[in-house]
Amino acid sequence: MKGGRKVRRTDLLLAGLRAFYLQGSWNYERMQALGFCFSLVPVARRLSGSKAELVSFMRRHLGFFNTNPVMASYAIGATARLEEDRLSGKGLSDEELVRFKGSISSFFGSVGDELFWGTLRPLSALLGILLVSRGDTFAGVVFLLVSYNVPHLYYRLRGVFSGYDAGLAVTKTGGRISPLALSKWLGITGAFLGGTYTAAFFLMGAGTGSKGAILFLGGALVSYYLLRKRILGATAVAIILTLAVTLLVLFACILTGGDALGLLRHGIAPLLLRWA
Amino acid sequence: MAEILKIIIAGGISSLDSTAAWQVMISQPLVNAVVTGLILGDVTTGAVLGTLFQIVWGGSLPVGASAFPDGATAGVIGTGGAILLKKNLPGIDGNAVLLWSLLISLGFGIIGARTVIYMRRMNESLMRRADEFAREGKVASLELLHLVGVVVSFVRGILVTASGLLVLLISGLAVLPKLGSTLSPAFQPVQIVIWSMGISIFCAIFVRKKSRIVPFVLGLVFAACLAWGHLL
Repeated sequence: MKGGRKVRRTDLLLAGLRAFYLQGSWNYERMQALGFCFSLVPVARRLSGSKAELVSFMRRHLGFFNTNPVMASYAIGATARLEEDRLSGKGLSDEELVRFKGSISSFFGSVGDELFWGTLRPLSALLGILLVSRGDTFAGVVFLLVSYNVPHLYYRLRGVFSGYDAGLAVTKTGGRISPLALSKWLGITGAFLGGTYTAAFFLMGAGTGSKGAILFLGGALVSYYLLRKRILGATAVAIILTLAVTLLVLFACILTGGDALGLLRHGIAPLLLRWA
Repeated sequence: MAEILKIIIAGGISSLDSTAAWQVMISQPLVNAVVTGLILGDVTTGAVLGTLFQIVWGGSLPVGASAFPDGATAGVIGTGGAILLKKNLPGIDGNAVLLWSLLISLGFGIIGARTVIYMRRMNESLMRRADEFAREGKVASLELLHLVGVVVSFVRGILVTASGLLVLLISGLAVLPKLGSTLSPAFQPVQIVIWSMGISIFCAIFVRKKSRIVPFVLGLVFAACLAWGHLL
């Protein structure tokens, strides 16, 4: 080892903690590159014996990088190990290091996005919604935060050490709990909670009367069609449905003898005139 | 004024958590709406609006370069604005206030998404400076540069929340005294329709494979049994 320079556990911990800010300067050109470099600074300081080495280290890690932010700690740990190996002359060349970073970022990107964004995040949200709708507001919020953050913090903080220990074989690690197996089981739990949500909210809608049940089924069909066919995003669908239902209720109010003329004369007309 | 300041800071913190820092889910609409409600002393409004926002944005994923709706600040705008409007318009039905806040903040979910794209384009200039600092070996300046990106994200959240709140309060104070009683009955049907949206959103995520139909049906039966036993 050149000058006995070796990455310490505290450097890895610091790099792992800095990775919480990985996406702070996210941009379309090199995505998480600056964040990745920022996370590796404690390692760079430890391994660089001169300013020239430090410059070279920083420039190596300012290239394009993008992965799932939670699983990025594995890539950070593995990169620290490979940089350490370079000092003893048995490490990868610059080009090989860039290729390695590219391949692990794709791997951890797909695994992490599937586990954290595609499964755990909506599952925690679903759990929170179900509890809050039962009236357990604080339990819902706490369950949402805990159910997401226990695996989140486990992978984030463990990842940097596992990645360092595994080095080149980092894609074979993932802790005692495999992220892919965890995704599968959480997905099944999500399907179960999806069924619970459907029945619970249908009963809540139907509880307001037959109009509520019809509205619920109609809304489900319209939103399913628009979202499934990717005609509109969820926000646009929500805005359209909200406006449509509001107008429907206003017309119903007029048809059933609501004070339509009064509404036009004292409500809408003065507003339109003022805005004009 | 102190309440408005609290809401705006909550919006900035939510914006940070959504992508730039931590990602511990305090930016989820259900969490930030309830917390905003707690800060302003009306948790019920936070829970009602937070549930609706969480359903709408429960499926939006901040993956890679995708443009995702800004539910983080919109949740704070909607809840904070609704509570302030309720306090300032005591004679107006609460449901009308909730409906108006929902509509405006959904709109700000889209506007917020555009500002995220703009901010990410602005961050590209940081890369050029970062290359210069790396060449000169100025590591501390490079670190500072990255933190500038974090601060910009916080400021973006503050600006979006402040402008959203301004639009919501001014429009609410102008519209609700005149149309409040007319808008009020529309809130419950709107709530039902958004609940129904949740089926499309969550089933698209979890019931993608045929093998997931069995746990989905089991969930349906489970909820029906709970309802039958008056536990739901």
